[in-house]
Amino acid sequence: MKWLFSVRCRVTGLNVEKLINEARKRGLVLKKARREQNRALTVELSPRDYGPFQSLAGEMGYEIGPAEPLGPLRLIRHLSHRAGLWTGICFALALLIWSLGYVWQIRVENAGPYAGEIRLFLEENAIRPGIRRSAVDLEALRESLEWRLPKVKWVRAEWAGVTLRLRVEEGTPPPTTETDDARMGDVAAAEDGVLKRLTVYAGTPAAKPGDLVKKGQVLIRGEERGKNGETVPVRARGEAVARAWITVRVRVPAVEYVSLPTGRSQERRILQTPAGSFCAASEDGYLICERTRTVLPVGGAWLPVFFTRETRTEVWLEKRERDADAVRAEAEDAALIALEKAAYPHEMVDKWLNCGMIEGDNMIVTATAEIEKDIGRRRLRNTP
Amino acid sequence: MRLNEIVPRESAAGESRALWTGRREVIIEGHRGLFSYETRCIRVRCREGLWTVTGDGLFIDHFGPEDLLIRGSVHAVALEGETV
Repeated sequence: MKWLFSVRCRVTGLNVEKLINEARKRGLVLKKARREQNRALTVELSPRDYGPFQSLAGEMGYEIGPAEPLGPLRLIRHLSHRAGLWTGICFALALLIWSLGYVWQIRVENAGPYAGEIRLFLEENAIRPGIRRSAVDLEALRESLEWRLPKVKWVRAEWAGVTLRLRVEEGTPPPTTETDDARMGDVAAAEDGVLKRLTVYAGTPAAKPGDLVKKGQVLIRGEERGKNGETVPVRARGEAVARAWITVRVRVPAVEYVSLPTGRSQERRILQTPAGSFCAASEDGYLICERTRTVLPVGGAWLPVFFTRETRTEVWLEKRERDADAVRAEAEDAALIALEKAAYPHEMVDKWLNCGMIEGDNMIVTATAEIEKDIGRRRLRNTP
Repeated sequence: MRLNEIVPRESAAGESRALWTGRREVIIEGHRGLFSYETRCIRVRCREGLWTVTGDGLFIDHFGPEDLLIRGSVHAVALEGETV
């Protein structure tokens, strides 16, 4: 078994074998006894055995050197001379222990729509990062939150180190019971269109392919004929594919503003330092102007001092009409892009652009697409 | 069954024993002290005579009351001229 703590010493004298044998007789265990020269020997032994070994060597006339610590003992002796390090470690430990008495993070888990409400509650009760842990009563906090959030099944408040963790479990609302009349219903058109295909899974068809149907018109009636010829209410189900149209309207500016110089200009030289900017001349009161700046770093990369030359040119804005063909082309492109976005995910059967017209300072273009989609939507019996 | 179980240490009845592991180390059990110690040759007293361990860079890694461990590059181990 290796020793965790040991010391090494050097023994000098004639016939060191005698010393080793005498140490054995006295029950001293020697480690790593190395013969260096004819008269020298280095040996390792436990710190407890060093005293008896030293006195034994003295009795037998051997010269023994000072004990040199090894392993952790050496590290401890090495560190014992560094007071600053120990002070820093003690200070860090004290800081750590002190910081453990405070709340540094508040984590709200699984709160869903109640997260904001819980945050507001914590703010109202001054529970925020930085307060002492002893100031937070977890049981009272849990009860208050459960009382305040009645739709919550339970709240768990616990510590995770320096984090206050609030876990919320929402209650499951009971299922709504539908009456037979409510469950029975028709399939009606959600928008205008020309019916192309009507597939009925349950119910009685109320329209046929090729019909022009209006929004709200019943396509599949929620009733079927019974065995004895009576009418039985059912929940209508089916697929009503129709050609429908979507229209988008795009507005593009037909005029543009151009800046023209008035002939007046001003040149300023500014010295910028961390303490502020210094300039001999004040700014002229131009209503609209363009600036041109040239910055020269005076202090190089390390000193933030800059010399800036600024030229201000006064301009006025002139309103000009843009080229009509270019504006129309831009508006048409924008309309087609908007149409594709509006039609997604349905495939467009056909599309066309209406002529652009000027309205004020804008050109307006309308684009229309014909698409195929299922326009059938279930409508409950008691829904108007 | 291990050799130590066939010939246990207690059955040696005071006789010494040398265990040679490769060329790295030799354990001598039941010794009676060191006779001579050099880096090329270590002689150990025992009841039967002298254990002689020869090699290069030999040193005593452990020296206890009853056993000792010699490490280094071991070439030969002998007892009173009788090869072990």
